Amino acid sequence: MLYRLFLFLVGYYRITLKEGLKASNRYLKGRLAVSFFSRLPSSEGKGAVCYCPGYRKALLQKRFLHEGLTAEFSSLRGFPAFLYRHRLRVGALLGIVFGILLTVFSGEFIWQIEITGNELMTDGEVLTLLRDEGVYEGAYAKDIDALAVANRILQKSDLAFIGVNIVGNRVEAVVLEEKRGEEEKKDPAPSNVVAKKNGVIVSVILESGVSKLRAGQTVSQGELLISGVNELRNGGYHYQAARGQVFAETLNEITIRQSLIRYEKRYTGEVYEEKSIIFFNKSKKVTKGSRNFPLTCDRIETRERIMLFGKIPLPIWSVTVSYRAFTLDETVMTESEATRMLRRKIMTKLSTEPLISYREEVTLGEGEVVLKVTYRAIEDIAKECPLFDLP
Amino acid sequence: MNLRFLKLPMDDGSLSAPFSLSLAGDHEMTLSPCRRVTLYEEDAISLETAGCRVAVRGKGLTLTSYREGEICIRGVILTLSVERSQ
Repeated sequence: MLYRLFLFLVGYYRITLKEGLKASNRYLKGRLAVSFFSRLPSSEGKGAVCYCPGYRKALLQKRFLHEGLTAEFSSLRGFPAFLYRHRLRVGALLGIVFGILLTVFSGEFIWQIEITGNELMTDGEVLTLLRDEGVYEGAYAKDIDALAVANRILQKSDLAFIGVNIVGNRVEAVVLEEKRGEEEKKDPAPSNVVAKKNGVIVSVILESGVSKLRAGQTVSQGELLISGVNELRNGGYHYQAARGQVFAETLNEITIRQSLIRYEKRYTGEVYEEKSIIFFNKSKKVTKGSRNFPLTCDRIETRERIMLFGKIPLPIWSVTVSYRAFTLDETVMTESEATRMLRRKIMTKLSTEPLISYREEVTLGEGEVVLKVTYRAIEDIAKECPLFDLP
Repeated sequence: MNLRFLKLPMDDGSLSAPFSLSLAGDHEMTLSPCRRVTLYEEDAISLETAGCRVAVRGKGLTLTSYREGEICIRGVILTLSVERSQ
């Protein structure tokens, strides 16, 4: 079997002997040193057939002549003949070679990174942490020390734990985040509630703590609204996290400006596209030549991963970058148009606040309109303030 | 007779940093709550818990589970140290 494979790889000739057969197969095999010496199939008549490696053809021809045998040599067969027949199909042959190399060596590189366990951090943030430590799609897997990578990430991030496992050409990263929020909920730090701005108290919703506010009371910014300190009968103190909502009537002032000159974006219709392929983290442009893109254009990049049979992700991405040219048209607004625009902005901001009163003042500045709004509203002015400076 | 009650000291959190650590022989350790793992090696594991740092040294140390703040470490535990955080 191995010899047949050897003959195929080096190329071989089929030798047919029909006349001048003097001796037995064993004699001929011994004298001529050929293997596979057998009778010809009956359809081909009487005689014998054998095979020899291509490089022994000349030698055998001499020996046959010396023995007085008439032999017919077929054309060269085997892999060299195959290559010769397809010698002009260079691309196909290169593709075969490339495919073999890819199969053999691609297992040494990282094809895919799978991240699990993250709830607060995005996959992109975790991938960035891994990339900074040399773990990315296309990296050489043998060079990566997974344990060292995990420890370096633990040193410089807030993660509770990260496990990095390299399984063949796939990296599995299991992330555990530090859940500080939940701990604080169970045991919140002691705090007071103070006023974040001046106001007149309307109502209080007390959740925890002590409050001595009354409706109509005027408070100033920073004043204590709900206390987290409770004096006990025995003279001691009990500290807790004060919680609650304190609604007060506040006086507010907003000033916004709008320039009368406006620039509007108008697309010219010109679109330029550049395509490239990212293979194992190396980018290669597909479109030829370079273009001089206009200075004012939107750049939109679309990246799509190539999937094998629609399911298996390959470390190959198709990237399309589109450039949409636009111009900025200068227009001059009237005073009333600018005022309307300012009012819309103000209304959007104040839409969630119950207003008690509203007063506006419009003035025309140098090339701009200024809108000054004074309004009274009822809002929650409670702000938490820790009692102690904890590390 | 007037009894003067002592005023309770201000609780700044420094005296109450509860965590529980249990050892099963010298081959298994459980700690709760564990905030994060700061070092994970086969011969050393460092943990951060409420207000303290716990360092475990030994051989063949592995983190077998870390769930809901409770961590379990197995291996040959040689030394265990607890250091209060600054």
